[in-house]
Amino acid sequence: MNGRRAQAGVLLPRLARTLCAGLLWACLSQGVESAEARIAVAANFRNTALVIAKALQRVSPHRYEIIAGSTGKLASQILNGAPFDIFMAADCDRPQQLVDRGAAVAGSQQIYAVGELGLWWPGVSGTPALGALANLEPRSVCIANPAFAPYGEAAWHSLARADISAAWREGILRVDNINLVTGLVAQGHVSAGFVARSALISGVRNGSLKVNESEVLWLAGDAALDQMMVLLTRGENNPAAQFWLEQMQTPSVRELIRRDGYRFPGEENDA
Amino acid sequence: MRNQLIIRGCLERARFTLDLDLSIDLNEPLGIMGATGAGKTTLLRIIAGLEPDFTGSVAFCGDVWRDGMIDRVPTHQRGLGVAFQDSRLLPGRTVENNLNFATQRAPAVDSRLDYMTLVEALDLQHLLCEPVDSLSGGERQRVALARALLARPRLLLLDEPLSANDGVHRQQVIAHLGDWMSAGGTPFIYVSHAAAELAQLTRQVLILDQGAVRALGKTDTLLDAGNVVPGTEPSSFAAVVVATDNDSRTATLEFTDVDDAGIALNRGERVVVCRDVSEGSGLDASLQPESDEDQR
Amino acid sequence: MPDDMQAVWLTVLLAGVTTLLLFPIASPLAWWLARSDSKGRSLVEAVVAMPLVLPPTVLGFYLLVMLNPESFVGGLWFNVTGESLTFSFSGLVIASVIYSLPFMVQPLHATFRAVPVPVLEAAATLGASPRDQWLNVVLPLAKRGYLTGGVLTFAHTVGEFGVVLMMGGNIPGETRVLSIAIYEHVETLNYQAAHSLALGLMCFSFLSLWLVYRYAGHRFEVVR
Repeated sequence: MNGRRAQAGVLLPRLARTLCAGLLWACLSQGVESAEARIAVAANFRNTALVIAKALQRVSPHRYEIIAGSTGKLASQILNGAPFDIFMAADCDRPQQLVDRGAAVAGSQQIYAVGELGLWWPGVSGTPALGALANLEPRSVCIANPAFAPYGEAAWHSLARADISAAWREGILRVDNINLVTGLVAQGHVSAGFVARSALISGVRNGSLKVNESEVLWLAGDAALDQMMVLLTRGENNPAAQFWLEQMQTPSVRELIRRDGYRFPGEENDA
Repeated sequence: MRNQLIIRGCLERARFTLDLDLSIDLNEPLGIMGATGAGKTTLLRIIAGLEPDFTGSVAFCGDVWRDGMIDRVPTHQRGLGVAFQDSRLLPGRTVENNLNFATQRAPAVDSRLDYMTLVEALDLQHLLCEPVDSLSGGERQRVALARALLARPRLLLLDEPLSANDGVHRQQVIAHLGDWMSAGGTPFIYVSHAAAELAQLTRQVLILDQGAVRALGKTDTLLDAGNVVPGTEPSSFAAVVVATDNDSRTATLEFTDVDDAGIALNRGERVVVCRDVSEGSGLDASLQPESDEDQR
Repeated sequence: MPDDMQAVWLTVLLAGVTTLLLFPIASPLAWWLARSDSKGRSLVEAVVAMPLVLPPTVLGFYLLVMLNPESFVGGLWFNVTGESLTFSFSGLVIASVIYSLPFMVQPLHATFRAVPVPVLEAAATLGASPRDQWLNVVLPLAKRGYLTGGVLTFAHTVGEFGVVLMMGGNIPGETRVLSIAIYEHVETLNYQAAHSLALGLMCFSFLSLWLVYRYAGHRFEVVR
């Protein structure tokens, strides 16, 4: 008899507390309609986007799916009906094309980050220089496919500007997206590769990569990549998408982006 | 007219062309006889509606079943019961299951032939739970016959339904069939080589030869089987035709195998019979002693 | 990893739906092929067998073009549902049905050819209409064929990759099937995750095939 009353004595207050918390949560979320948004991001921004999504999901009732791929491929999928709400490219051309074709909302374009391309050449004797690449077999140098990866395109142009012969450039190893380049260099499948700064930084941070600064040649000035994002027509009335767009401008999110090695328009790189 | 079967038309086959103009009163059971390949089975198939190339008309009891090249009444609506020569039991099933297939689709008519009576009369009671694939040829034929009867048909078609059975079973079944058919009044057609069977079961017989109707008339007259010695059973023999005589239209048979000899004949014996057969061909024969007949 | 569990479930769902849809689609087709004397038969057989030899990317490409919201078929779907057929589960189902069609039709075709016509004639004389013959004579005899067709279709759909890559993409919960998930793990150098999915898939395939042939193999011999 005593035991039962004692149990009730513990359960009831607990129940009451849960109910109150539930009611409070219900009241708070009434103001904001919770929704789900699909964000298509360029491969180099994948890890950063995942971190941002986690952070936003903590402070709002919205849910985010991050789908990563090379910029060109994602753009093509969007034009073929892929159900994304926001597109975060690694260039400005593709988002503009989507606006022109009516797949994206005009005026929603914003540059969310400026990325940097680098030549990572582990085992190089001396400082890595573009011209010196010509001494290697082109097969053992890797870039993202310029046909649909802006980072790969930038790398291609850098090689041209460094007076490396067209014949040599033709033999270079092209892979699907920028993240693959990092992996191939790290595992020694290739001697050198053109990688994204963000990939090296987050790789070192989570312990999956060992990078010696002296092995890397940053190509800032010539090969800075203005990465533009745009709201897609499908996501026009999606509150979660709206929330994401707004949050991109806040200092806290910008800090997360900066932490991964990106700059913002008008800023100089100090590294 | 009740139980009138009318077939007019033709069907081309590789070895012959079946040309028919028949109007038969099936109130009297009909037998069909003829050499192998004469078209007996084909005729049954035409009646059953299983020959799409037949051009002509088929009518029974005033219902037009086929007209030209179109079936007005498809096979499954003709109210048939067919016992095929090759049995055609549903594979992978038990005997009981096969019989039930028929009873489930039979019209609800009163019949003195209930399930167990039929099963016992055909000596199938110990086989009901056996898978049909394990039965002997004779057993399969009896199941096929039971199945055809259980379909409660308007018209029963039997194509050499007992050819694989031994003499004992054959006699038993023929006797039962005779009783049931005369009592029940179901019109039927019976195809057989065995003159004695036809004599016992049918009142009229149709003789086919290479697709043409050679004769249609009373069984007694055509088979001369009224002289059969009563109480004797036909015996089965395998023989080889050693000589033919076209003038007298006779053939001399030499027996190669003798089964269940109710008649005293031995291997190597020869008998002269009136049959159209070709020299050198083998055949299965059955003989039944007739009064005033000398076997040697 | 909840994402990968979702990929597993999505794959099972896709393969299951495709197999169930193909049973009624392939049956009449296989039956016609088994029974028909028509001269067009070889043409139909060739068309049905195309997905066997066609590179999956070709099929994926043409589906991408045809099911696009800009095209006729895709546009119709978009007007009715507001969603695109490309990069969606429904689009994948359509693709899988075409892609796995021969894996259902061919075993059924073979099994139907083995049904003896004389037995069907006998059934007809016992009062069985063509539909009755189909349900009560053909189907029981075709059980093994349906089992084979079902298992092959399911397994083949689970292994779909090229087609999905072309017109399915990598949308979690919609089109991110196991093969795509494995590919993504390799792309992001997450070999551990790739291993667990790939090995798991192999074991599942082997086990299901083994169980089916061990236990269901001879259950279809005698129908009581």
